[in-house]
Order: sequence, then C-alpha cells, then structure tokens
Amino acid sequence: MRRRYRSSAGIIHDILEVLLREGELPATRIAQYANLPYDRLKAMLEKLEEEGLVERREEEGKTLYRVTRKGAEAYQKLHAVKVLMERLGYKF
Amino acid sequence: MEGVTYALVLGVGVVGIAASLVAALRLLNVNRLIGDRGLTLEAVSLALYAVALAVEAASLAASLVSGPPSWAPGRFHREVFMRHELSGTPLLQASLLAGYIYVVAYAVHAVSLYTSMNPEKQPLLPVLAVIYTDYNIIALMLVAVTLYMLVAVYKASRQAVSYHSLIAASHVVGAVYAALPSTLVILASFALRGIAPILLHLPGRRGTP
Repeated sequence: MRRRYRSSAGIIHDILEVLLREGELPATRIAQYANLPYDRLKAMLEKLEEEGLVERREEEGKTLYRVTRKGAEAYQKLHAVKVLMERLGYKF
Repeated sequence: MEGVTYALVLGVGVVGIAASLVAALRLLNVNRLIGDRGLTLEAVSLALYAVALAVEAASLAASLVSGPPSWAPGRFHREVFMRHELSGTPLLQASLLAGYIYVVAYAVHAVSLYTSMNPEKQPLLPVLAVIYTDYNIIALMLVAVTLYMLVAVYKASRQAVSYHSLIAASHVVGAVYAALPSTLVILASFALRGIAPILLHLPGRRGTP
C-alpha cells in the first residue's frame, strides 16, 4: 500500500476541521475522521491543548474535545496557507 | 528602449520580492499558532529567496540609474564583451552573489519538505540529521553532474572517474543517514572523501583511458 505523507500542519488542519464541522468529539472519532492512528492523534491533541487551540471536558465518563476561539482563528489562517503550501510542494 | 526593458524586469523582480516576503510572513504567522518547524523552515527559505532577488534587483536598479548595463545587447562586439566586460559587470557579480543565496534557499526548502513529509507513524527525524542528508543529496547531484560531464563530454581518465566516483559514493553513504542514523555512516562517508584525494597520488600510466 502506498504510504500517505502529510505535514504536521496538514494534520492539525484536518483535526481542527473535523472538530469545527462535527462539534465536540471523543478522540476515537477524531482519529477516524482525521485518518490518524489513535496514539499519534492523542499526542497531537495534547500539543493543541497546550497551544490553547482545543479544549476538553468530561461528560458521562467520556472525554470530549472541541475547538477554542483561538483554534478557530488558527484554522482560518491555516486553511488560507494550505493553498500556498500545496503550491510549494507540500501535502496537506 | 533598453531602459524600459530593464525597468520592466526590475518591476517583475520587485513584485517577486514582495510575493516571497508576504508568503513567508503568512507562514510565520500560522507557525506562531501551531508550532510546525516545517513552516518556519519554508518561511526562511522564502525570505532567503526574497533576499537573493533583492540583491539582483538592487544591482539592476543601480544600472538603471547610471544608464543601461555595459553588457547590453548590441552595445559591444561579443569579443570585446568577453574580453573586457564579463568579469567586471556589477549586475553579473550581483547575480553570482545571489546565486549562492538561491542555492541555500533551495536547500532549506528541501530540508523543510523532508521535515514536513514524514510518514505519520514514524517520529520526526532530528532536524540536524535531515539537514545532513539534504546536504549530501545536493552534493551528490553536483558531483554526479561533474562525473557525467567527465565521462560523456571530456572523456576523462579512469583515475579522474575513480576520484569523482569515490566522492559521489561518500555522499551516497552520507545520504543514507536519514534511513540509518548511525555514527558509522558519517565516519564511512568521511573516510571515502579522505581516500579520494589519495587516488590522485597513486602511480599510473599517463593518459590511461
């Protein structure tokens, strides 16, 4: 199978996009939508949480993630940069 | 007419500088939010590209102020141009200086692509390892072109081919470092580069094909 290459900026773009589209989601669903291994997604979510782009809350024993206002702004800028990066040869 | 041409070319260059800088700033702006080093490197590459364009543009602007460049088409007979003008033309010198900056910009761009396109399941390589691999690939390309010229155009001696082949081999080994990050790889690469000049002193028949 051909390996899929994606920049970390592209991965963050996909995670934020999924969360903005679907609202609050548990990590397993985000992994599914963003096409990421669960352990890699968890590491990325921790990083995004540290940067204040996503936040989590507990509900009925489940951990749900959602995009913060800062995350939504970051997504807008990241989405604008996507075209530029693809033209430079990057995969998003 | 020549002045108009140079002014138009300068205009294109200035727009290119602005476009590169705006792109670099956009990448840096997003990088501040998400912390992707690939974006930082790409922004550096674009900024270097803009600097290289600026070096050429500045020289072109100076030429415009002081009149058309002395090597302008039709101004001199080709022989005169070759004999007296080639080495001293400010624009040519500026382009040569910019050339080094372009090469660095392309190298940083390649490094950025490497760091940004790792397989998702693998951890990112240390950036120094990526830069080392990248430098070896660039060096390999240069040596490979030289080697091709030696074999196909100059029909160089076997010793010359061996010398360049060893240098090329040293960079092939160096380029493997990204896949096999071991100190032995760096040592082997260095050793091959050390052996290559020894070949220059080996006894051999003069003019051996």
